[in-house]
Amino acid sequence: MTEMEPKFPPPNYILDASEIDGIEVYKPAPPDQIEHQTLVEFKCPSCGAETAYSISEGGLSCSHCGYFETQEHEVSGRAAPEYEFTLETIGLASQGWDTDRVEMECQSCGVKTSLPIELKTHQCAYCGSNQVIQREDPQEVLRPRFLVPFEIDHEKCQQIAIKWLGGSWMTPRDLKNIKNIERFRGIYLPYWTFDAASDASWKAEVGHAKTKRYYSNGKWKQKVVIEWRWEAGTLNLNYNDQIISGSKRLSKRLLKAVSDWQLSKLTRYEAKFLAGLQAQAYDIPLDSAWEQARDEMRENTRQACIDQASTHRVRNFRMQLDFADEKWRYILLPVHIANYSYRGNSYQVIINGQGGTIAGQRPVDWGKVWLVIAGILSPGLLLCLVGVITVLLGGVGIIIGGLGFVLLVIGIFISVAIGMKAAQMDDI
Amino acid sequence: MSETQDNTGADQKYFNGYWDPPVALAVCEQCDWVYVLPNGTETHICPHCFSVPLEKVNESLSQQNKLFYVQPPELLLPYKINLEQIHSRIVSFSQGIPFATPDIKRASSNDRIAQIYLPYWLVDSDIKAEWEIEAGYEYEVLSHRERYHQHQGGWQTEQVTEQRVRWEPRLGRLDRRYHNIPVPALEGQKVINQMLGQYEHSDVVPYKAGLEQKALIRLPDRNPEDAWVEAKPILQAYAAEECRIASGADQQRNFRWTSEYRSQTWTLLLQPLYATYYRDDDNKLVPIYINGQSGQIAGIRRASMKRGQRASLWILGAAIFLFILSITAGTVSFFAPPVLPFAIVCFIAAALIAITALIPVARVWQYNRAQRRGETSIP
Repeated sequence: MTEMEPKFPPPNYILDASEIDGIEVYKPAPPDQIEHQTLVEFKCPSCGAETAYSISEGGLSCSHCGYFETQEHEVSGRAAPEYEFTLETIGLASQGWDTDRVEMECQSCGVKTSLPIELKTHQCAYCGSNQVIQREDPQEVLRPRFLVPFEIDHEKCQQIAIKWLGGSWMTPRDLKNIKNIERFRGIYLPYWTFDAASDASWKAEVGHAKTKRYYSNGKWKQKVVIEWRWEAGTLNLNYNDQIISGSKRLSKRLLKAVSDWQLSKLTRYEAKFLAGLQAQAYDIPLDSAWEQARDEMRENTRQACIDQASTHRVRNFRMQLDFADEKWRYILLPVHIANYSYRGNSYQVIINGQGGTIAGQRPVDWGKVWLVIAGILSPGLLLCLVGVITVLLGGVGIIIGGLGFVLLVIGIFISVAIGMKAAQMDDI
Repeated sequence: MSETQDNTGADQKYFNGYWDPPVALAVCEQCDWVYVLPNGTETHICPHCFSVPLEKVNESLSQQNKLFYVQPPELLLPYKINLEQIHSRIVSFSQGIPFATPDIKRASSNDRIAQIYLPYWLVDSDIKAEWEIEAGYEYEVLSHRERYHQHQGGWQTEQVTEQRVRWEPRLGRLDRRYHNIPVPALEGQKVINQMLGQYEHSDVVPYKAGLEQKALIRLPDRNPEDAWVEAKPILQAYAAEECRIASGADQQRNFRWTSEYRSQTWTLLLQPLYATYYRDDDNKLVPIYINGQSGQIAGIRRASMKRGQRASLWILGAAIFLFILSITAGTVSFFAPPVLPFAIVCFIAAALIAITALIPVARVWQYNRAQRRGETSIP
């Protein structure tokens, strides 16, 4: 028996329900029990006007009187706590939201507004107050606990976007001078991160090329034969912070293009980070996201196992893969989104709010593209033509024609690549 | 609990002289077990060690009280096993003993079976404490096992559920009275429990003189003050378990507390036991004990070397006979050669049978050796 503390109960302990009369039970108080409010509003303590999170200054600022409040960043990085896949969590997470919209009452003017369930921030249309919605989620752990704060502000976004718009020869020349690109909207997008340890064992027939000599028609000849041998191996891979988007609303390709997040800057969630910005709750539930992540992990592991084979010729490949220590985390990551119009068409641009990586749709000057393709194909075509003519005239046309054909084939390959890139740029 | 004694005072005398009708004490000089003899019993062999007759103690109970706790018990567990059931238990006990001594069959005869009541303490106590535990909450996590076969449709996923425990600190206060916590009254109680199993205390009846019929009552060799030392960890274990339940936890570890004990009361309970014996080769009495409530049987199993030797001699005799026959046939074969194969067969058979003659003796020796290794008896 050890001497116990004289003060009872110790601080940070709260009374818990007891199953037996005559026994009091105390448990540690949950860390954020007091902080959780359904709706948080941000008012300037000096003038009462709205305050919002200033990305450039890293705190709450009042645009009316210049008041500024520094926001403490509690950076947890990749060490930010993760959760296990308990049956309870899986069950609740798969239920998702039980409604499409929720009614919130503005604490400033009392107006009730019906909001889509996935919104986490809102600006009251009547009084303009910035609000962060922290409604009850299906389970406590399914509230975002960590986020990566914005580091790129709106002005920087404009610069990145203008540079990017004029950064390709395929886009119209006047695109970089475009004036109608709208102000970038900072939005926190929902993401899931997954960890797992994989333990794989594989077996396959691996082909080894061998040169074999044989006698035919009075001559020794050689041929290459493939000898198939069974090989087996094991592989352990640890996956750490595999990121999967929790939002269906943005193009996966666009999001993937800007997904170079530095999770070492993961910071504990505070409602203040979201003030004046937009944030979205997940609409891809945990189990679907985990299936997607597992799919990526197992394909990656499969490829790594195939790479272990002594040659690249593999058939009858089979493997068993056990996942262990599977964990997940729900986080918010910052992006800026903007739209612009060019010659009557609308285009979307997205910028990683942490590192500034940009992706989006750009109009393609197809006239310029076709001209370049024609320039690439024309030498080949021309030489082919000269070759044909000189063959007909009995000259050395075969050589010229052959050279022209080679150039034409190369030109076709380059042209197809240019055409595909242009189409992709136009089509995201 | 019909009667209880408050045992808080260290100098308190236990003896109140309530045995009615008056009883006598008897002691075994061999094993030092002290009994209360049934009314009218004159002599009795010690039903524990079956070595020597019990010796009646001529001093009065009050004089004995200085050495033993001699007050009458408050509670009693009645016998539930009858003589017929004992017989079948002994039959199954003796099965499997190679060359069992014939006397083991007589172990279930009425004249050998003795009834003994063994004492057990039940303590009540108020406890006031501040406690801390690590409470373990079991939960299940999901993981996945994937199989890939190139020609069987690619990936196949299997979900695997794994049990885990989440440990969380819990602390609190406890203010409760604990009732009827069993505490051993005999030094060798742990061995008795191992051999005969735990007694179920749910069907106790108040002790009345005459209920014990012909049974001897073993006196406790620990008085409540001695037993209290052992009672405290038992109470702590009960409290730890209740703190776990109060916390809603599935498991607990690292229980710590500061406790105050008040108002202990002690109750003496009698637990029923049958004792019998069989004689081994050397005519020594080997005891067998049977739990009077559950029928669990324990004792030393001993194979009879005499029977083993007799069996070996019979086999050896047969071998000698065949040997003589083979010699005779061999001699005859000088005159009648066709007899020679018969002589050879007889000779080989005689040799083989002679070797098997060793088996009974070796089996008995090996069995008794193995039994001696794991031998325990009630101390």
